[in-house]
Amino acid sequence: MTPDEKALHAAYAPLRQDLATAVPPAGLEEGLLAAFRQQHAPVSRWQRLLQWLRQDRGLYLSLGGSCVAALAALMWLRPMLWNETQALQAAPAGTLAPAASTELTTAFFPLGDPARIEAAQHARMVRVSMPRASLAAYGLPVNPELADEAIEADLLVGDDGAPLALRFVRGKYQLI
Amino acid sequence: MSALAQPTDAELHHRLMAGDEAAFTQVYRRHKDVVYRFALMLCGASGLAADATQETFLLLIREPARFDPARGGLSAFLLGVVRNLVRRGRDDQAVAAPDEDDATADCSHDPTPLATLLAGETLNSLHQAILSLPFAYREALVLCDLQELPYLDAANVIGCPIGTVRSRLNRARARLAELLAEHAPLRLETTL
Repeated sequence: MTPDEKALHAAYAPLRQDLATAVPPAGLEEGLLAAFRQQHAPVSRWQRLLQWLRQDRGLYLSLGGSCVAALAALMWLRPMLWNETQALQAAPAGTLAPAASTELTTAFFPLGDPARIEAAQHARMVRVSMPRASLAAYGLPVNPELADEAIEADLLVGDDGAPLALRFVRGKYQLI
Repeated sequence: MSALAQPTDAELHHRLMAGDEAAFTQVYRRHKDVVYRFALMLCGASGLAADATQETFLLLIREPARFDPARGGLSAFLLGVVRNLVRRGRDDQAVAAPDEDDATADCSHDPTPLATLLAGETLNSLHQAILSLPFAYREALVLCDLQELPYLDAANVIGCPIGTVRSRLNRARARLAELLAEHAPLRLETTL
């Protein structure tokens, strides 16, 4: 170490001493921990659904896209549904049909501007009955023999009570 | 033995990415002082330094994947972030005036009021001299001379080759020596 460097290091001593006592404000840690908790807060089911649609799949299903997807799902499910119905009819008396987990649902159809779904802070799901003819409005086929019967749907309702999206629900062994 | 049981920064980072609050707390407590002191020496104001420290750790919370353990240590990453924040803030506004309270604080261990006054004055002169250095010189000087980081780590923080750090440090020391020499007669007069 040269004499100049020695002199400089000696000059740093009080500054180093002063700096050693400098600490960030005590409240900073609490604020950061709150931010950490917020960042890792559990995500609700409908928020996960939106994330899945928006990020994991790299696309947000538009109304048209949803219709196409729902139609494709119906086309694929119909033969299976028919077979299962036959099997149910052939089942021996006293055999119980599976209960709670036997629902089939379509994808969610956004109602109006999809941006409203993202903007909503909270949402709740409401089960409603709708005229079966309303399926046609979403590009889904309507069975003429069952046209008079109602169909159940799950309505995603925003903070202000306005419906954001809906999906149709039916029993696994129920014809659509 | 207890030192061996301490988790590494890479392990803590992995855990905090998975939402482990205790891991984040440990990371914060381990690095907060060095980050804050670096910011303080760069900007010269405790309020700005606290803001920059907060922003640095918020970035770690919101975008933890920005830190890649394969590219360097967590300390160098955090210092690099706070350095960029201070530099960006410096571009937006003039360098803040150093806190008067900070400049004269912590001299209570000196025996007499005169000694306290002189020590505070010397410290203030040194602070002012460092703050008046160009930013590139100042950061090299603070990292290598005051925080005693190896040249390699300082180069990682600044994002330049080691040779550049060395040359900036030499120029910073020379400039600082000049500035302190300018203050010396004044200090002498004061003591007479």
